[in-house]
Formats: sequence, structure tokens, C-alpha cells
Amino acid sequence: MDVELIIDDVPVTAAAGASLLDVARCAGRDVPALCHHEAVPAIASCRLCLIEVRRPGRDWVQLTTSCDYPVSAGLVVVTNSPRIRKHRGMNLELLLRRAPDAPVLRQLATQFGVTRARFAPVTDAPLPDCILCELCVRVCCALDYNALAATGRGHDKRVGPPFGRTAAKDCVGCGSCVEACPTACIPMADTATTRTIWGRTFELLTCVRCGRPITTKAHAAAMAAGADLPVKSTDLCEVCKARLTSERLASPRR
Amino acid sequence: MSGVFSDPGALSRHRDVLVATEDTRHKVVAVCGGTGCRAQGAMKVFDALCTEIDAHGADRTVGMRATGCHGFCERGPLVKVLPEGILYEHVQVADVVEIVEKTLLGGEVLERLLCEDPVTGQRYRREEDIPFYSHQRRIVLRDTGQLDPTSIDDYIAAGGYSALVRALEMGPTAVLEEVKRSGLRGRGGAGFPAGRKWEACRSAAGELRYVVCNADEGDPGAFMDRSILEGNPHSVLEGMTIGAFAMGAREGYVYVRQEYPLAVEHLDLAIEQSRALGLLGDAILGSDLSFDVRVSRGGGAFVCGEASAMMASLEGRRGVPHRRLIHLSEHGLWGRPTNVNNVESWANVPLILLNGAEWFRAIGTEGSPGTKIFSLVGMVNNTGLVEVPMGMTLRQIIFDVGEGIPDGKAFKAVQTGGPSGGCLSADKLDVPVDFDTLVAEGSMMGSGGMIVMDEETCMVDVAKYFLRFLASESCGNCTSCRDGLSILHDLLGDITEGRGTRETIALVEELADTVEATSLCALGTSAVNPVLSTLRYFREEYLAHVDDKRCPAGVCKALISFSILAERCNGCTLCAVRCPQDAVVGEKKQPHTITQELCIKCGICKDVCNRDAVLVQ
Ligand SMILES: Cc1cc2nc3c(=O)[nH]c(=O)nc-3n(C[C@H](O)[C@H](O)[C@H](O)COP(=O)(O)O)c2cc1C
Ligand code: SF4
Ligand code: SF4
Ligand code: FES
Repeated sequence: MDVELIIDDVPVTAAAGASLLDVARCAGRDVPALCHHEAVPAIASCRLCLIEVRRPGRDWVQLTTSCDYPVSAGLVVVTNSPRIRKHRGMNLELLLRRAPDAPVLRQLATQFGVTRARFAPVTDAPLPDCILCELCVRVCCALDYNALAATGRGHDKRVGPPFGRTAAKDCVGCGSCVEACPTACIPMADTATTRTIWGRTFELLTCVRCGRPITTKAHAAAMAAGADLPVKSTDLCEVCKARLTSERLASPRR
Repeated sequence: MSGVFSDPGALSRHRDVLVATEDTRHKVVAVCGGTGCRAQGAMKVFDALCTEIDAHGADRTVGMRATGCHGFCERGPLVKVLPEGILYEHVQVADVVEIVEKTLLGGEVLERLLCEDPVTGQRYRREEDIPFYSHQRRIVLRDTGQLDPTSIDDYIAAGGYSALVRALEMGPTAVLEEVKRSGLRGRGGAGFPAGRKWEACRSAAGELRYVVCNADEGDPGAFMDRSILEGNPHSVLEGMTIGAFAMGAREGYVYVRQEYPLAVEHLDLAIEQSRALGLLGDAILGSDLSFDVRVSRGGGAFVCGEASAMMASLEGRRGVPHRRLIHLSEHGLWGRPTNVNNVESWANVPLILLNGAEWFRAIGTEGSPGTKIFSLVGMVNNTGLVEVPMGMTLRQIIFDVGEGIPDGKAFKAVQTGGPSGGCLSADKLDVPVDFDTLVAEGSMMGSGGMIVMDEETCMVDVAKYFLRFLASESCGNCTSCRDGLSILHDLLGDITEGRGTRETIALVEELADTVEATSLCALGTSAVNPVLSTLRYFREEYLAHVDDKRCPAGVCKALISFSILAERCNGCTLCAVRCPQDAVVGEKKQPHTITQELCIKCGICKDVCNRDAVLVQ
């Protein structure tokens, strides 16, 4: 069901229940967000995607996060105001203690004019630059590998292999978490034949045509098991798959 | 026992038999079997009393009961003799023979065991004469010190489950209306009107729905919910059953914290007994109401008491709060309509049904009817669990029930509402204690913690203490709460350790504002109360720390120094001998001095000095 709402004075139509952040961004508004990904459930951790909402029939404006705010009819939304900028700036300043050099944060800092570092940087984090957004955990969970978890409370919250293990037992080495991580802080090291991530080293599967690594053997096996396909279907890298297709198309036998 | 009660009449006939048997006993000895008294040896006293009574062949005329908490744990083990209501404090096994021979058989009161007034030294004969009790209005706790919580018969004999019978007669709609009219507000913290929540749950779409009892009670020092569950578990079960009837729920959960083994034991037993008598299960009392309760044990994190985190934990997920735009009453446990109430809220329900909404409204204030149980602790003469009508002033609670501040010290502040409550100053003593007034004054009711502080308390240090707790209990989800609180704690550390400036205070205020405005759950949004309220009421004390590098209360070690007043010191050497640093020097019988470079400010010299010669500045 589509609903009408107003974002920064502009009427917008969106699907009821959609994330207000996605809707605002579609409408061309610039709302900073570090812990959001359309494909996984929101946890609203970074507290940067703040907006102001007035619900129909209410006479007060609520300052709230937008990523986990489901759109409904008649909302009046403001994505930028002095109040929003003030609190976004402070939360950004807090995140900068954890990842002072992460490009994504540096860029936001410039954009929001956060130039001071009034708080001592975090030096005891086991995973430097991690902002504890749990995107890695949520992506891994959405893929049904469940190799990562968030543990601990408060300042001691951590992400990584569950139960404080050093190696992620259920990890298949797909690297999706690395893709998802906003601060690019997850160490993943590939050699010609191996990949090391989350305390484990995996053998890489190489393309039967060109010899380039495709993914880990464990990942290929997991995908094949999930899709009920023989491992073979993943024997070619994307480039060679495309080449093979065009060669076939060009072949006179067709 | 008589098998399943097939209708209300069977229950009431059973009650008549129980009451008739009771009447043949001339006396009942109620030994407090609450966690506090147990820790002081109450069960040994209980066993010894049983043996002694048997030995005198008096077991037919004297009944014995291990009851729930009497609330006055600091005086434990407590022994009460009924019907006279004589209350003995600090009873030891050695006192047992005398109690049996003189009091029980001889009718003589043992003066030396009677409760002593901490201020006047007077000894009170009966419980209702003791100021600690006489200023209370115990309705929820009325029976916790009288009944044996492991016996459903005790509860039934005292009228238990007649509120349920009443509810079944009234029908669900009328029950809901009664609870709404009573104005009962949730006792777990936020004070949300229970009737409104029930109504939302009842009218939410769906076949299955749940009622949940929140017994997570994570506030350090709070034990009201524990005492109710330990001392009168059936009152909670009866309340939940009535709620289930009104809302159309068939299943209930009690979420109890792991650290409450006795509460779980008594609750499990109560559920078992209720099932055996058909007070839980299918066709309760022959009606078409079917309802059962399961107990779930929480992992102990403070944040798991937050309703959405508790749902996650009950479903077997990590106990982390999440956004609730759709109310739990519509979308709760496993996505089904769910009504969560606190232990004390549930325990009020049978009272309301039995006595009527008007009776309930006549207690307390217009906006906050009924009573509230507080855990009164800290620098106050009488500590313990107290139940008072809403609207009683802080002064009445602290100075009448609590009988004031020990050792003639001056009252400085009271913190209400648990760790994230606010601290109120002496000029707020006449504020009535109810949900709305406390919030307006920058504190809150919370679940009923009340910590009294005297003049020797540093308010910056107090704020730091609570922030430390809250920062470590933040679930870690939100940037603002997780990192904001730990930085606030560090900034307060800067102030107490002499590194603070006026800018530090400004930064504390700026950061606290963001933590309050942008955190997801009430742990984060209320965690700044201790800082903001102390800044509001005790600002000069903060300024003394940053401007003059002075701690007026003499608490912050970095800002104080110990010295000896030569005119008072007689050179007794007591402090010199005890000083772990050998920092006190001086000849015998000559005034001593403290070598500042060696002093670690442990305060031992001040504690041991008989002549009050050690000065803290
Ligand atoms: C951090 C936090 C801890 C809480 N702990 C408890 C608790 O231990 N017991 C409780 O009954 N409510 C607790 N609450 C309040 C619950 O979220 C909820 O409001 C309450 O259980 C509802 O019951 P009531 O309406 O009867 O008060 C807590 C809330 C927060 C934010
Ligand atoms: S590793 Fe990256 S994705 Fe995972 S929690 Fe940290 S910042 Fe987020
Ligand atoms: S406010 Fe604090 S406790 Fe609540 S969800 Fe956020 S981090 Fe967790
Ligand atoms: S994107 Fe919404 S809180 Fe992070």
C-alpha cells in the first residue's frame, strides 16, 4: 500500500512500512547513515540518520532515527535542522574516537564541520576502526552462515566470532562482511591460493579457464549446497563466464 | 487437599475448612524466611522453634510459619507472635527456649528482644507501634509477613483467589473497566496506565496473546519484586490470571532474574499447587477460562528488564532493546499481542478486584492512586522495604518511616528511581512522591529505589558512581549511549580528580543532551538523570571542584588533604600506629603532624582519632 508523506516540504509517495531513510534518500535527501543496509534488518546503532518527524494528530516533533522508522501516511519529516545537526555532529564525534582515520568518517566530519577531537580516542578495541554497527554480523546472518556475533556490553561490546572464540567456526570465507563494513576494518588477506579472515585460512577456488581466484572452496560448496547445484557451476570466474557466453553466441553452430 | 476445584463453591468450602482448623490454634509464630533474614540464620531459628514447641507438646496449639520478607531486614532474623503481633528482632537460636517457655506458653513479653528505636532507644511491643511500620500503608505487602508462601492453603485461608472468583462473575469487560477505573499505573518504571495497556492488548487482532510478568528487577539494592515473589507468589499468579481473563490470553510468562533462586523456587511451587487445584490450567474453577504460566529465568543484564529487550530474551535472542513503533500490546512475543506488567503491578490487581476501584482510588493521589513499595536504603536510621500511599512526601518517608539520618548528621540528598533516577536536594523534601511530581523535579519513580545521602556525600562522586553502573550496563547498541555514557563517566572522573574546568562541565552538559535526545531505549535516555539532576541542584559543588579544586564533602581524594589540629591532638599515637604509610609523625604526648607527600588519604587516622583532631579539607 502506498502512502503520502511530506519530506522537507515536498510531498512524497512511498510504500507503507518502508524505511524512512530509504524513502528520504530516494527523494534526493542527503541523510548520513553508517549502519544501514536495505538487505538486512535495521538496528539503528550509529545514530547518525537522525531526522525530525511529526505524526498526524500530534503537535510535537520527535527527533528520531530514520533507518528503523517505518513510513506511514501523513508523516511530516524534516531531514536537516539545527537540532539534527547538533546531535548528528556529537554522535559523529563519538564515532570518530573509534575510527579516526576511516575515510567514510573523515568525509562526514568535513561535511558536518566536525573539526575538534574533544574526546580521547579508543585505544583498546580489538578490531581497530570498528564502529560496532553489526553490519558484518547482520549480513552474515542474512546469508544464513551465522558465523559472527555481537558480544559484551557498553564500552566492551565486540563483534567477531561468537563466544569470544578467536576463529569463526562457521565462516565460509565469502567476504560479504568485508563488502558490507562501512569503515573497511575487517582484515582479509588473499594470496594466490588462500584467503585468511576471522582467524581462519581457506583454500581458494580458481577459475578453470584463466586460473584467477573466484571465491573460497568452502563458500562455493556452501552455495552449491544451498542451491542444490553441483560445485562445478562455480568453476568459472565471472569474467570467463561472460567470455564463454559471448563465444557461444558468436559460434556458427548456434 | 481436595483435588481440583470444580467451581467457586468448592474453593469457598475448602476455605471454610481451613479457617476452622486455624481457629483451634491459639498462637502462630511467624518467622521471617525472606532472603535477608535467611542470610542471618532465620531458618536455624525456625527449626529450633519447631523442635522446642514439639518438645513442649504444644504443636497443636501453636502454629509455625516461615513467611516472606517483613521488610525490616536490618533487624533480622525477625520473629512475630500472632495474634498479639509481638515482634522480636535479631532473634538467635539461643533465644528460642525462652521465647517458647515465656512468651508462647507463659504469655510474657521478652523486653530485650523487642524492636528498639534507633533514636529514642524505646522498645516497642507490637509491630504496629514501631514507627517504621506505623507510618506505612501495607496493602500489597500486607500478607507477605504473615503467610507461608509455600502453602497455597495459607493464601486461600486469607481470602486468596476470591478476587479471581469475583472477576469470573463480572466477566472480562467489567474486569477491564474496573482496572481502568482504578487508575492503576505500572509499578515497573514508566507508570503507564495498566488499564489502557490491557485494553490495547485485548482489542489487538489475533487468536493467541500473552501476559508477561516482568520480574527482572535489575536495580542494585532494589528488592521489592523479589520480596513479593518470595513472600506471596500467589498474589502475582492471581493477578496474572485475572489479567489473562480480561485480555483473553491463555499463556503467561514470568521473567525472573537468575539471581533470585528463592523467588523462583516459591513461584514454581505456587504454580504447581495452583495447577493441582485447577486454579491454573483448563477450565479454571469450572469456567471457560484456560490459562497457564511458565517461568523463564533471565541472564541478569540490567537492560533485559526493558520490555522489548525482555521479549527478545524470552524468544531466545540476545537481550537488546529495539524500536517499538507498534506497541508490544499489538506486536509482542513472537509477534503476538502481549501485555507486560511489573510484579508489583500484577500484585495490585487482586486487591482492586476484591475491594473495588473506588477503594483503590481513595488511597494515594488523584493522578497516582494506590501505594508504592520503596526500597529505602543509605544514610537513614531505618532501612528496608516500605510501602506507603502515593503522595506521601519525601520528608515523611525519610524522617517518619525512616526516622531520619543516623549519627546526628544532616540530610543532603535523596536519589529516587534506581540508578538512572535523579538526586533531589533538601528543599525538595516536601515534594509529594508520585509519578508525575518526581519527573517534574528531574527524577523519577523508577521501580522504587530510594537512597538517602547525608552531608558527607559528594554529589559529583555520586553521579559518577551511577554513570559507571549505567555505562557498563548499556547494551552497546547506540553510539550515544554506549560511548556517550562512558565518556560522561570519564569527564566526571576528571572533575573529581582535579582536572576539571568550567569547560568540562559545559562538555558534560552538551554530551548529556545528545545521549538523552538520541538513544534508542529508556536506559540511554534516562541515564543522564544522575548528572543533570546533580548539576541542577548541586551546581556549586561542581564549581567548587573545578574552580577551587576543592571537594566540600571531603570525599574526592585528589582534592582533599588530612591534617591534625594541634590544639586537639594529645599525642596519643593511635593514628601514627595505624597509618599504613607511616605518614603521621610526632613525639608521644606531643601534637602530631601528617607528612603530605606520604599520605594516601585513606582516612584511617580520622576514623581512629578519639579527639576529633583530624581535619579533612
Ligand atoms: C533499562 C531498563 C530496565 C528496566 N527494568 C525493569 C525491571 O527490572 N522490572 C520492570 O518491571 N520493569 C523494568 N523496566 C520497565 C519495562 O520496560 C516496562 O515498562 C515495565 O515492565 C512495564 O510494566 P508496568 O507497566 O507494570 O510498569 C525497565 C526499563 C528500562 C528502560
Ligand atoms: S567490523 Fe565493520 S561491519 Fe562489522 S561491526 Fe565493525 S564496523 Fe560494522
Ligand atoms: S539506549 Fe543504550 S541500552 Fe538502550 S538500546 Fe541503545 S545502547 Fe542499548
Ligand atoms: S543508519 Fe540509522 S542509526 Fe545508523
